[in-house]
Amino acid sequence: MKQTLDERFLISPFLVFFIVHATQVGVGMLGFQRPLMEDAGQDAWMAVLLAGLATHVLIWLMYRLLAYSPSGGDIVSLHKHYFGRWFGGVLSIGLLAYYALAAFTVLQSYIEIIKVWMFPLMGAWQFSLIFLMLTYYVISGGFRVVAGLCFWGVVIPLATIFPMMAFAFEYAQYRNLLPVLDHSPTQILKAVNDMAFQYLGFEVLLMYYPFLKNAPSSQKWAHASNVLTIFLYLVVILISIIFYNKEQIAHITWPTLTLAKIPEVPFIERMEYIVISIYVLVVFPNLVVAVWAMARVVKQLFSIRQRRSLPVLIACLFIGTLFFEEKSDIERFIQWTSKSGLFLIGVYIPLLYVYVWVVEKVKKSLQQKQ
Amino acid sequence: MSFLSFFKKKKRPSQLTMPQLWEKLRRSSDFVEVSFVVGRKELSVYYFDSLVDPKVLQENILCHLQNDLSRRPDVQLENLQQIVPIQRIEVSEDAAAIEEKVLKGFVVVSFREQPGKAALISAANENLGLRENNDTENEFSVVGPKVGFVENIGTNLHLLRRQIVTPNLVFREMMIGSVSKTKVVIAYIDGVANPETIRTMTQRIEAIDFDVVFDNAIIDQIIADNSKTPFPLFLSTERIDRAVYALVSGQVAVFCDGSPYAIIGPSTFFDFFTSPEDYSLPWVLGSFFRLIRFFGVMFSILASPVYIAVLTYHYEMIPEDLLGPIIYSRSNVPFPPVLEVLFLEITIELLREAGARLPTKVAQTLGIVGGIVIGQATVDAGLASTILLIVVALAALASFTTPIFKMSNSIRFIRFPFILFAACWGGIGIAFAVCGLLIHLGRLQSLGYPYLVPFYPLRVRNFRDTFVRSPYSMTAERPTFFRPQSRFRYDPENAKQKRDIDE
Repeated sequence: MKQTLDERFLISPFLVFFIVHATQVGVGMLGFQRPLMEDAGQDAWMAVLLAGLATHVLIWLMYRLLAYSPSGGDIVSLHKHYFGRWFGGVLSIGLLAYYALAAFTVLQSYIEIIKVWMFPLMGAWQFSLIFLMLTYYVISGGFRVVAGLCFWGVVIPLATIFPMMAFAFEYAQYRNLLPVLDHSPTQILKAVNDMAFQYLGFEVLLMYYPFLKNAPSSQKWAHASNVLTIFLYLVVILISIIFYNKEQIAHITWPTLTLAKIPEVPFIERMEYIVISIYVLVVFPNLVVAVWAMARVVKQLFSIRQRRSLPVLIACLFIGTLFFEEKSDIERFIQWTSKSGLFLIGVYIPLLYVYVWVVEKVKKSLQQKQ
Repeated sequence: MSFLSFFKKKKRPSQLTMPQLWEKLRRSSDFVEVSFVVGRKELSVYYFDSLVDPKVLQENILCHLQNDLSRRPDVQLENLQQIVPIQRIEVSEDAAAIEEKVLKGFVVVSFREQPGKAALISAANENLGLRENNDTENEFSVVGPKVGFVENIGTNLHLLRRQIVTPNLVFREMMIGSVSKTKVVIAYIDGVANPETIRTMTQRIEAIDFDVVFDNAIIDQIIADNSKTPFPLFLSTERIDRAVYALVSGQVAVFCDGSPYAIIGPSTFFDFFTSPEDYSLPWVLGSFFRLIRFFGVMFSILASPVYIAVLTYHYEMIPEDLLGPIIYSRSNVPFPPVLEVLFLEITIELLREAGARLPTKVAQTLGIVGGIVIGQATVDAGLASTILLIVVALAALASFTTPIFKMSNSIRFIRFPFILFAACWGGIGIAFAVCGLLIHLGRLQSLGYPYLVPFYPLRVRNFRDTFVRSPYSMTAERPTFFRPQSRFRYDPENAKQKRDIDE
């Protein structure tokens, strides 16, 4: 299990920039404004910024933690090393469950958007089937191909969807931004709590860390990537604040998609169809990386070949999508993912770091005594 | 000729001796060395097989050396002219000069009794390689040379060596095919191409077990990294300038006797969209036409799927002003958009296939009959809409802008999956297909090098010659993704020198 990876499977450290960004931005980008502005109103952008800064700290913490893992391994080998085979295994299974939940939520929430906006009558299973088949095709190409998909999933949407946001400036009401700091710290902190979920996704780093060539040097790219994510969320929230007023936004589920209706060109209307279509490229890396992480945990934990486990995992996800199609189910799954993700990143990882740090200290002092 | 200056750069610091020179030249399998004894004289003859006219060599040089030398034992290298009836004979002691001459098709004669000296007799076959018609017909360019490779491997090697005048150009010969025993030559520039690449290519070709090798295309398919892909993994070209450019960039070329094409590997996806003409035009124009070509490819792949997606599922996307013409042209059409598109696409495929199989003169007539008569009649009969006719015809036109035939075929092929996806799932289907295509391309490798480089893995430094054909002052560096052994094609400092205003 401790085998180090052959160099040709590794990726350059700067690709972390694309992977982290691709996994952070997902379906949430289309509709994160409403809960945020319910809490913090025009000060929602502060919540975006604060949550982003907190993410920086957590990324830093994760790199510190992973530096402790034996022979540059991932979190599964770290668990095993510090908690023994059984308890460490249980912790890793918890992680597996989280990744499964994340993959499932991503898949379902995007399919819901497709259903609501584009194909209300078409069976959702068709989309999940294609998604999952493509997922298998990517993952069977190895992590390099997964990283490649993340690359395209960042570059193409940035080049095509992002410029469309500028059309909203035509109708901007800049006075919507005022008064600044009109909300209490508790309100803003509540919004930060809502927002933190949108930054989740970088925790898959716990699994793909051994696949990075010269992994510690990739930390600056992870931070740079987070800066880009903060920037994108900030731009979107600011445009939403100046475009919508508070009453309007309470009635819109996906404000970003509604923003995409603004552009008018002579030969095409309803740009949101294009946005939703291209959004496949944004959502797809989220799903693929999560499923990849699942297969990787299974391989590390039970030594099952990924070629065997992957079809089973994908079939489970597919069967899952058949049963939970209701909006309320999806809402519940989003809640669970959000809560467990925040717990994992905000509570578990810091605690684990403290534990590992103390253990190492104790070990060192014992060695010195001898 | 700027790209040959890596040779100029290392202006040979130490003097080369003659044995060293022969040793150096012997690496190439077309270098021939003949030694024999006539009377009391031991003599050696050296030449490049691919450059020398065998008739001249036999009738004018070897014949006289063998017959007349025994009768006139006093003949030295200096007065060789007395027995050899060739106009240009020079005697030289300078190994560098000899090297240059021998690479231009001179025959070197040396006597054992006069070491360190050699006579250079011109026997270059200037006319070799100019068959009746060796125009580049399939990779035509308006500017630039029009001489292409022919079916004779000797000619091809000759053409290559005439442009790359350095002993570092190495030809490695092998026999492939249990029945045909075809001569296959791997060409590379020593000191530029990565040894790893050369080794992989050699190994793969040596491992071929096949009966008759008709064409390079067969070798191409057998040595490809992935046989299930519609995309060509090796560039095949009939243009000399393209092959030379590839060799100078650190790629390896494979020639096969009986094939007018050279295959070049490792290749990247973007190699297939560059045309030698880009390099003949000023860089602004070259880049512009290259961008047009990329746009053409995207248009060709996406035009008819988008038509299907919009007209089948997303008719809300059509603006009011455009709705009138579309309704007007489609109101008589009884089919759903998919069938309409497939009907026209297949018609165009048929025309293309028929045009390619027929003699040139008939094909032209067929093009007119097919293009105008069938197209017009289809619309009149109400089988397809005028707008679609325009879209499909434009898409077909756009797919022909790809300079490499194999790639243009692949592009025509991958439209059909896109059409099916668009017909099933509209815009989302197209996005799925794009995803699938990107993943597929991301998985491909050519000789173990990633196919999508410099995009993925991203190599920002190598973007100078992808979408934009940068000016020559910026392209001194070789693309690093082939891991060439020497970094620069020519001195970047010289190329970059800029004078101040009014100086």
